[in-house]
Amino acid sequence: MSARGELFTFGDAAAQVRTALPPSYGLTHATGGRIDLRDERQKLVCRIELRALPGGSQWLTLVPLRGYDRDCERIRHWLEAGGLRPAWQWKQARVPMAADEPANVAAARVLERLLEIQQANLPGVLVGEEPEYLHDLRVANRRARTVVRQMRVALDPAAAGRLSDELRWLAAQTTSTRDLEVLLETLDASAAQLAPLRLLLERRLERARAEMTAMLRSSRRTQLEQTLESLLDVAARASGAVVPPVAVLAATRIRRQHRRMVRSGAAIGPTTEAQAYHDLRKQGKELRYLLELFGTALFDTQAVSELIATLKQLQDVLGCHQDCAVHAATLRTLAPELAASPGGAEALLAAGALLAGLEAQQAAARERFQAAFSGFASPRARGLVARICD
Amino acid sequence: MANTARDTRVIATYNIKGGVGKTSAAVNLAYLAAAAGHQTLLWDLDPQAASTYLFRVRPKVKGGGRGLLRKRDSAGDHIKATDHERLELLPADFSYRHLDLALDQFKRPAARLRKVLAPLRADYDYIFLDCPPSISLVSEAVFEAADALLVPVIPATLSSRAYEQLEELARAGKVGRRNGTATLAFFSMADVSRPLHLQVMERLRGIEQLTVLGVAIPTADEVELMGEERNPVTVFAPQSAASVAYKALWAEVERRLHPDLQAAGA
Ligand SMILES: Nc1ncnc2c1ncn2[C@@H]1O[C@H](COP(=O)(O)OP(=O)(O)OP(=O)(O)O)[C@@H](O)[C@H]1O
Ligand SMILES: [Mg+2]
Repeated sequence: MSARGELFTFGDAAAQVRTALPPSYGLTHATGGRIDLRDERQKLVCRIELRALPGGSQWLTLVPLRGYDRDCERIRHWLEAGGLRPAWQWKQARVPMAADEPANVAAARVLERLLEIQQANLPGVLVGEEPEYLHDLRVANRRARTVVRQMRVALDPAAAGRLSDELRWLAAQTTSTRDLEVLLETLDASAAQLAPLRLLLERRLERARAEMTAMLRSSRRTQLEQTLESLLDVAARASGAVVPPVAVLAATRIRRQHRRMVRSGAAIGPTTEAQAYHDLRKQGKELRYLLELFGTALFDTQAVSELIATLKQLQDVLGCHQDCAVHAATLRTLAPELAASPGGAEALLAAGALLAGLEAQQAAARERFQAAFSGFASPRARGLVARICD
Repeated sequence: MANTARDTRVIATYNIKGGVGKTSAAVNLAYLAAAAGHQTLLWDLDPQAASTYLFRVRPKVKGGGRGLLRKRDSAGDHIKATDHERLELLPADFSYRHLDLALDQFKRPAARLRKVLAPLRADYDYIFLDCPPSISLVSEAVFEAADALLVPVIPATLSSRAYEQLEELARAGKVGRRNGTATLAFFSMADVSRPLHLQVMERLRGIEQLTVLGVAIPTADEVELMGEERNPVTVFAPQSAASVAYKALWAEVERRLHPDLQAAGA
């Protein structure tokens, strides 16, 4: 479940709840942004916790009273029918598209939605209390860059280039904060010997967040929304040459991306540099976004989701490998500072053990790589690609 | 608090006579117990479902009374939250009118309610049983399950028959199959301005085997209004005489049930 809530709206949540429910239902506002819902017998059956978030969205969490789960599910159903959207739709970047519309038009629509998601998460990132905002912002950002790169031939080259630059700049401001947040999340909070390390990481995170916040409040950022919008306008005006239909371009890109990954992956052996795994993972993300943003809307849905599942197995292995590498690198840079801090000697030992654990995990990921990759490069997966693209 | 550390008390409002204030007492006292911070359950054993109605809950138990008794740890599945913090309800069901027959299917019918309640003890500090007005297998099972019988007595007309039954009840409590089942009578719908009431009250307080509590619940419109408000008195008329009386009654009952706590508090 989303940390924000289960349902959301950009409208007036309380008013929408009122109109979504049968008139016989009672709705009272309790303290602390809570709504009490009573059924036609005036029995309290469900509470709604309401949160207004920066960015203008309101989030609802339904809390059933004991013995009233089914009533609560019915209420959820009514609320969704009444226009409140489930949380997963928040991340839903997919937009409708027709196979034969020009690729630039379809790509612009996808990009518009992605920029909207990115923008909506910015205020929450600035508040800085929940990592989820930053995560969602970064995913939307990465997806947008993928769309620009993969659909390049259909876009105005200069504008597309600048669009990418701006997006990359925004992502770069958030990377260290995100990495530290993830590392802190993986640390065992109960391990006392890790306390000095935790403290150090928290202080680093604070610093990283302060830097990020300053950049996100800078004029470059405040103008970013407009900049991106106008760049998108220009970029979508097409590249001048004949623009292919989106289905044709998407099929080409998916086929090519798969082939590229098969080639890169085949070159990876047990002793290959970590960077090669990382590069393959980045390619994998691009393929995944292509499949999710265009594949599902345009092609054989069954084949697309099967290919995504196969790809996901590979990406999990690569993700584990990469996360371990990033965390290990961070820990190594901390060693001198950690040694000098109070309780540092013990903490250093604990960090050493942690590092050894990460290396073991990374080694295990390497061992799992062949199996995951051969699934992805298998004739069956190739068959799926053919089914999607031909 | 660790579940196992709970020192649960089961309290049954009981009287063979109907309409004496059993349900009113169960509902108000259970509410007060919960309001004071105790996890509280009220089991409405009466097919008439009066307390279920007062808490706005649908009088329906899936599988009926028989199903509920059969599976020893299924009672929890039927529990409903009331609108009040910490107060939960095991609703009545029309099938409870055959609860006697259902109990009779077990080898030890009188032990059955206690067994069904056993797993719930971990979750509640107080469990109230609101009983139908009868003497039956159900009441036997209630006697065995309860730590205390709370018996409302209207001091108006005490027929000699009812009087004998009370005495009998008191003896049963004393001899009790289970050690320490207390029988606590209290005056319900009392009117101290009427000589007859005072007379009856005095006479009953004189019975040695019978514990009569000091607090009496006066006749009050607010108690009758509960049916319309569908709430305990304290919720809609906290300052009323009835609310004050129920609070005092609860304090007295709690003192009786937890003499140890009182000693520690003193
Ligand atoms: N103190 C009181 N003052 C005025 N009315 C009262 C009082 N106590 C109970 N009543 C009313 O008397 C009626 C019977 O009360 P209640 O339902 O509590 O008794 P009961 O013993 O549970 O009845 P039953 O045997 O039908 O279950 C109800 O209408 C109730 O409102
Ligand atoms: Mg009753």
